[in-house]
Amino acid sequence: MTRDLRGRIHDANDVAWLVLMAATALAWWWGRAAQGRGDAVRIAMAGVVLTATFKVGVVGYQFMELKTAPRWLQLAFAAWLLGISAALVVIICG
Amino acid sequence: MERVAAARQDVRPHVPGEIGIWAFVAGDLIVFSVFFVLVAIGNRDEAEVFTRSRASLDLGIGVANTVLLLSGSWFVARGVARCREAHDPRFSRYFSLAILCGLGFVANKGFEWGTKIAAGITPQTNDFYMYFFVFTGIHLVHVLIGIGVLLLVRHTSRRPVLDRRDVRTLETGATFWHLVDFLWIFLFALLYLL
Repeated sequence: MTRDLRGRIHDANDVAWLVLMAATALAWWWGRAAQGRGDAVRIAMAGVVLTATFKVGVVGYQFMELKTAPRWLQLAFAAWLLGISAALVVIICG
Repeated sequence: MERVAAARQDVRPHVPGEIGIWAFVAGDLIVFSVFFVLVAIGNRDEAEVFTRSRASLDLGIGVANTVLLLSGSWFVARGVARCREAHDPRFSRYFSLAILCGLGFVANKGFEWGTKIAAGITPQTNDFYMYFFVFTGIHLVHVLIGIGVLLLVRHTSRRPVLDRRDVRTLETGATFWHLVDFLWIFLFALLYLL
């Protein structure tokens, strides 16, 4: 991942930042949808939580360098992230 | 030359930073997980109060603070990678930019709290605002500590040559800063967006 997008993107960290900005915009959109009415609100709330989960995954994997960490640390982080995400979705949308 | 080679070896599979910082991360994740679940339960059990209170928050401030922390993490990640691959003391500018992002977050949060308190909204107003002030307050303490950590990281990165221990110091500080970042991602989602 070097020297593309007119040479401005240098590595995976730049790509991760762009993805995180796009995910923040998506989360904002989910948030607006969650203020509505009907069954779509539950979907939007789940969307808010799952988008946050994705963003935390990107920060952990790329910025925190878990991608090069030992397997046990990767699994521990993934277990926490999936566990808290599932708990939040069940409580909020259940 | 040996020092550079030693530093470069750290890109191979390894625990980023000191093992102790990961014990701290684990403890903090447990505590904040309880906070997240409490907000989710409150959102379920007091839906009307939470929805009305959430509507009074300034979403623009929440989004701005999210962008500031994500950008701060980006600068830190770039700085650590640059210092490790081919160190130059000038790469400390990445950590300076991250510190500015952190200070921007603190100023933004101070403004947000100030307007709420001026409007008579305090932690005693209702459960939503109790969670809002207490949990974002605890997170704000993390941000302030993180800024101090980044000042140390910036100082270390200005050395003409980095040995393996220096690189480990950069990674340890970076790990703490990224923790601060992703705790905010969940707080932002639960307090501002639901």
